[in-house]
Amino acid sequence: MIRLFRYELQKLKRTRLIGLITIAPLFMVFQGVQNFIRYQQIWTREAWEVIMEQTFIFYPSFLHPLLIAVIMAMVARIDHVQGGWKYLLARPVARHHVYMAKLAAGVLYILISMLIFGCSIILGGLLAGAGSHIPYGEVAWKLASCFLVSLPIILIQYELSIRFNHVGVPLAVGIVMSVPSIFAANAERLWILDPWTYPIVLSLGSQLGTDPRQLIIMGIVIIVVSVLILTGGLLGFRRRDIL
Amino acid sequence: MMSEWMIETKGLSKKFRNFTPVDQLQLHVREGEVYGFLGPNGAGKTTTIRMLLGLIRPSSGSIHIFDRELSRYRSHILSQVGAMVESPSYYGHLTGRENLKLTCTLLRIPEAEVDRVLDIVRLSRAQHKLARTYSLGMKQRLGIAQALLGQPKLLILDEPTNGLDPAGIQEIRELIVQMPREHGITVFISSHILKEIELVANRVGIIHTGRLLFEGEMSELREQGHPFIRLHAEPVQQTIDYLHTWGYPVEAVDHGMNIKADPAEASVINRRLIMNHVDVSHLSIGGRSLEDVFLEMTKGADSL
Amino acid sequence: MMLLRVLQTEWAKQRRSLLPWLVIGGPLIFAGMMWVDLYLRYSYLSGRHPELTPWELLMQEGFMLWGLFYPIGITIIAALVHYREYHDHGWKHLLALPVTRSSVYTAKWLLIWLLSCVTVILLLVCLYATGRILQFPEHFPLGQYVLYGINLCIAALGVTSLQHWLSSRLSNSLYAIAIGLSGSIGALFLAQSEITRFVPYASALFAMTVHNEDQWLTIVTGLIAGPVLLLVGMAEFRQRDIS
Repeated sequence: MIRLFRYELQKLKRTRLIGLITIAPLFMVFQGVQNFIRYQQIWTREAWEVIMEQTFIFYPSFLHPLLIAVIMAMVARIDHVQGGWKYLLARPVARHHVYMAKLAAGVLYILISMLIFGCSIILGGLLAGAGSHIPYGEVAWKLASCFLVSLPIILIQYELSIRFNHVGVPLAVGIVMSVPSIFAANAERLWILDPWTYPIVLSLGSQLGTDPRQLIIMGIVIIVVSVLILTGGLLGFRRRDIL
Repeated sequence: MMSEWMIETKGLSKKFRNFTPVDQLQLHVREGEVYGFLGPNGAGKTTTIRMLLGLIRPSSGSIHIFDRELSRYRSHILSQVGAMVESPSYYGHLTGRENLKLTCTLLRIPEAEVDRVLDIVRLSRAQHKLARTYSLGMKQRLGIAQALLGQPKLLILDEPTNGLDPAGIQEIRELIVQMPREHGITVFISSHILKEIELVANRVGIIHTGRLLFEGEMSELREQGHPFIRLHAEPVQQTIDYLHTWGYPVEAVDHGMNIKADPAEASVINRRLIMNHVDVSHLSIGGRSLEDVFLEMTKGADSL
Repeated sequence: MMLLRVLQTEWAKQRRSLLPWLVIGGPLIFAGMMWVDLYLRYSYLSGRHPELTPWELLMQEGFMLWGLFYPIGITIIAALVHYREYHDHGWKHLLALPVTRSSVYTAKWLLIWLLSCVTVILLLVCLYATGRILQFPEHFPLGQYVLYGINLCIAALGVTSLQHWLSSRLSNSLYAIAIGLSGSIGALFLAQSEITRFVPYASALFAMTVHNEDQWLTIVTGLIAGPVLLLVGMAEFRQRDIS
């Protein structure tokens, strides 16, 4: 299966996906840092804390889920176009291996984009003169937890991109489901219904004093939903007729 | 291999909610032959081929390739099958060579294979250009190159000459005919163009609206046209007697006679008659053409 | 007139596509969100802003979010309008017909812009309905809302021209969408800086008509960026080789 994974990565060569996923996060960081500089006198808290706060505002709620949507759509599109599925699936490879390998390739790109985001936060902060107490641990922790919590989003976006030929379907779902993220802070219990709100809820969790029991429920929902989507996706993919 | 057939399907069917593209197909393909799968557009050829490759699940019936059931031994079987379905599939943003290397990675084949197949299909010069810049003929050849990687025992080609110019068609035809001879590869080729099949196939299967109308040797199909040899010769009665003695059924028609025999024997008959001092003034082949046979067969099965 | 004919065919092409769903669904879902938001937070909000009427509150709560989703919506409308062409090799066919390239380019532009305006109208209607359902006692401030709507339509000019050109140029619709998404999200920050707030993606953020002194920004940016980018794009389109 490693072989298949490498195969999927090779397919993504020259798609400029790397360029895409680098620029957007950089943008966000750039803005956050700018804000920090502009209002430098006003901040009463630790410099790095502010940097993190400013750059993280719209990341978990919009940029992150939308990047996931675009990356997964891209990974699937390569085969939707030009009859790629019949080329790949008429070969002596197990279908569930193909499904997992593509998923892994997409996840890799997501991780890369998160890494770039993290690095640029640190770089930006340094350039803005936020001092040398670089909170590596905190940045790493925030990113790692953001990733784990967005597992349902990743799996749902992947399955939608694979199942539907039209690139509009996964994108539309991704955008529509991201909308409630803004209100997640206020809807005390309803936010559980929309997995797209989980990253922002986690991110703001400390500030809002979210009930830890709710976080546990969230964790359970994440695991259950992820398992269901993955299993359903795999089974569907194996049985589907490639017309 | 215990069975004599390389591909055998029993009662193969595919049903959708409101139509049945393939209905109770019994195909038999022998090793080392070129099997022509013939039928008008929409007859069910592509659906059948997709089922042979595991892309579509049959609603009923079974498929045995290399004497093994497809549904159980899919990976093992497909590792020895090369295929090109409908239009060639390729990744346009990669070069021809990269596309082939990709398949090598997938199938765990050494990279040397890429050079070998590029050579066979004669794409070596264009191998470093992006696949989406290829002409239609080159794309078809790339598709065949893909199918040839890994030295498969069976080649399945769905309308490989689609959209090619005459030179291209001839090249593909030569490639196909070479396969059993020089590489020991069995070829299953589908087309809606009778002429193409006639020139390359040993055995033929004719499909129409999902059903197999005919399966057999090419010569059997020709015989369906009731070919005969038309002869004008003097003296008439003597000629008829000679022909009867040699065992040929003869029918006298105005200005000549029709001999019910395989057209291949025309020269033999001619030589024997001449050696017996008969004056032969006209010798030709008559009967319905293969085209007529085909059209009649497919028309009779279903009124459009 | 040739332009009208082409426009008609463009619209006819969009039958049974995702486009109508997007145009109608977008404002509806958004208004739904607004309803949820005000339902939950009304007392808190009116406490914080006692000088605003509920209608003004509604607009103020929503304008930023709409300012984000409106350019995203236009991005997707533009991508969908061009999707068919790329999918079915339509460009060759379309441009070989006896219609000028300018009329084709303009017709598509018009379709995108008109659809965005329809979205705005639907938004106003839905917001009105939302307010009524929440039983706002005051009169509906028609003038204020209509002005907001007009501002939004003008704001759309810039984004329309930009995304229209991008979608016509990039065969992989995902690239144009990714740029539009990044621009729209980035605009949230760009709007805060003195220089970069003139970016077309940011125009919709200044369209609000409640205590907003920067409305001139929307008008100026829209009226300048819109036509200019349209003409530039059209010039490029006319020159382009279609392979």
